[in-house]
Amino acid sequence: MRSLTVLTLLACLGAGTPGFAADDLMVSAQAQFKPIPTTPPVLPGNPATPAKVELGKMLYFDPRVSASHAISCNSCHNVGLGGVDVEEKSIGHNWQRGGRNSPTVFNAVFNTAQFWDGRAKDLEEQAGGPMLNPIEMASPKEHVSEQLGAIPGYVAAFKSAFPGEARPVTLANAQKAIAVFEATLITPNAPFDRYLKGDASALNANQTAGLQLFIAKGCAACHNGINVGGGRYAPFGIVEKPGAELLPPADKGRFMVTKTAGDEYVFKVPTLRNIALTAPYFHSGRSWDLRQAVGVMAASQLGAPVNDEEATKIVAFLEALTGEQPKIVYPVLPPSVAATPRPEP
Amino acid sequence: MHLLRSFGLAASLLLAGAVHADDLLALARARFQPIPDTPPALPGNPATPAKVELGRMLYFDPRVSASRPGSCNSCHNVGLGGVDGKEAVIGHSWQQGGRNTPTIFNAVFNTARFWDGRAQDVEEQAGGSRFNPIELALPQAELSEQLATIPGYAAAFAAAFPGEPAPVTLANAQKAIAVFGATLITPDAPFDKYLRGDASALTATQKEGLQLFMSKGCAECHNGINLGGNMYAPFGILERPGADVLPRADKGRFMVTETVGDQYVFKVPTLRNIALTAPYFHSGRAWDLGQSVGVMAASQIGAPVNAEEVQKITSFLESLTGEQARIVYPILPPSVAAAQRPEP
Repeated sequence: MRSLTVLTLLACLGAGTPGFAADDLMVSAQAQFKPIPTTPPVLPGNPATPAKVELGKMLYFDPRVSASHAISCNSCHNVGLGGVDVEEKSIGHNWQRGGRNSPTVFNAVFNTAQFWDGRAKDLEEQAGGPMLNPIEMASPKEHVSEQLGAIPGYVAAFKSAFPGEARPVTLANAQKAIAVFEATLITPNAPFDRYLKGDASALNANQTAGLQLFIAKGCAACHNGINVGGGRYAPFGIVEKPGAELLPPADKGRFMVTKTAGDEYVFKVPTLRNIALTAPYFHSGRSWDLRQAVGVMAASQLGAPVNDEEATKIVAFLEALTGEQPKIVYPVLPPSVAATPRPEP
Repeated sequence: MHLLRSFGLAASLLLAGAVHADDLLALARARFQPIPDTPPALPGNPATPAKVELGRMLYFDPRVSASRPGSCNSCHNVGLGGVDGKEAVIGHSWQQGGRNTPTIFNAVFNTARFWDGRAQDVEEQAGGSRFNPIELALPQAELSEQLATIPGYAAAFAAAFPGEPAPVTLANAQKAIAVFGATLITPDAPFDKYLRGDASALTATQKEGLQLFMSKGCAECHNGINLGGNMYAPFGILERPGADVLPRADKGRFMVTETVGDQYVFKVPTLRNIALTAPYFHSGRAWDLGQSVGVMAASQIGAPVNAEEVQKITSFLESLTGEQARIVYPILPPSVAAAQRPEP
């Protein structure tokens, strides 16, 4: 409620004063957004060590955590493609289609919950989901620890990552290691981050005008904070329900988690960080054009249609949210041995 | 013939008894060469930093496949010894490929690609998998269209192929992947150090394994820089293996040459990094390196090996694991609204 009041206030300011002094805009932006830090955040109860991060990186790229040995975390959250797979819906085990568009892993550590419906509270909990999901990696619950426990290089890597534990090769520890690796997948120093840190020249005139519109039109009421989103839930279609092509009626979103009537068609507000890299858009993945997606949001969420010029400016601002992509050395994975369980096609 | 004669000579020497350490090295050097430290130059396809970088991007980009999830790296995983650790690949629509994925590592030193040698070089091979309906399944015309609609690729092709008016072509993509593929070499295996004169690089067991590898006749086919990859041989010269290992429907090189003598003939695979690249054989049906050594001894050289010999040969094969390529994951140019969408 408080953020809505702030929004209204800012919207009035924005609408009433198209000139919006440059300093005021920066102050207003700094009040609603935070820059991505240059170092990974600490995860409560899961301290990062070099050994744990390295193990997490190996697991992230290792297709042997899937039943078929064909799918890794990176298959759908591709670190070379903005942390997504550029698919409407991901292809999982046995060529089954996932139910929703793959959200980016980049900066996901800053979201308040994971998945489009927030069913995992953090990265550690999220990491377990796809490995066991029958339409994603399809691993039986015991598969991960049995598989990895039969690869000598992993036994050693888990021991270094979890020193002092008698039996460190567990699914829970795999999730912890993946979470600390994923916490390193942050994209600092986007033009907008530099702007938030006081460099007014980091945004060009179009982007600055787009930022102003983004605040004035009300986008920032939901898309705010460090991730310009990822901090709350909202119904898709607050003002006007989009068509079934964008909002398939069968997917009731957070309702499927909470079973609360008010949560029908409620989804986590996605981050807009690196949004120019992560088409297609929406939980349905049905929009391939960022400009079109901006138009849909304005109509369905704000009831304030944007004209062409405004859309261009907002898109220019969104492009300023592309940060430095993580530089990752592909891990050398420990080899399977004769006794290692084999893939199940 | 020359090879066979020198092999016979060496084998007699070896069979005569324990070979002197210097003689073993000399014999080994006559048959094998170390992996070089730097990538070889490809004829007619000079490597430039821009071309290698473009090749690396294409190698990891799932947008070269019709349905997106498959990139070159899906089956030739640079973190898994250049293979996928599966009997047969899973390709488009979850179809199983016909044969086990050969490693990309050091493939540049093979004289032919694929198990049946149907491509001449990595450049030609890179085209094959992409359009194979059970691998990446891309209709031919679409690759260049797909890439041309991604602005970052237009720039990358222009930098890699300067002076060409329309550089975004399938042929150029293959060239770029080939020069990147040529960087995927694994030097400095213990055996390479041994070949360069460091006698302590192999353990006593590995040296005995090397001696057996030559005296038993393995090195007759598995020789050269890649310990294989430079000739064809029928699977089952002396004794045809069972259908579990040699499925009868896959007639190998016969399907390329249609020559009767080529039935069940396959390219002799490299043994470089073999300890990392289970399962084995074109059928991918053997998961145990020791078992594979036994199958080879019985079917190819008619000289069964005992358990101790298998252990020594396997130990030698483990000394063929080189330094794995250290590759920075490429940042791929983003698709834009006009780019073509994946097919389901």
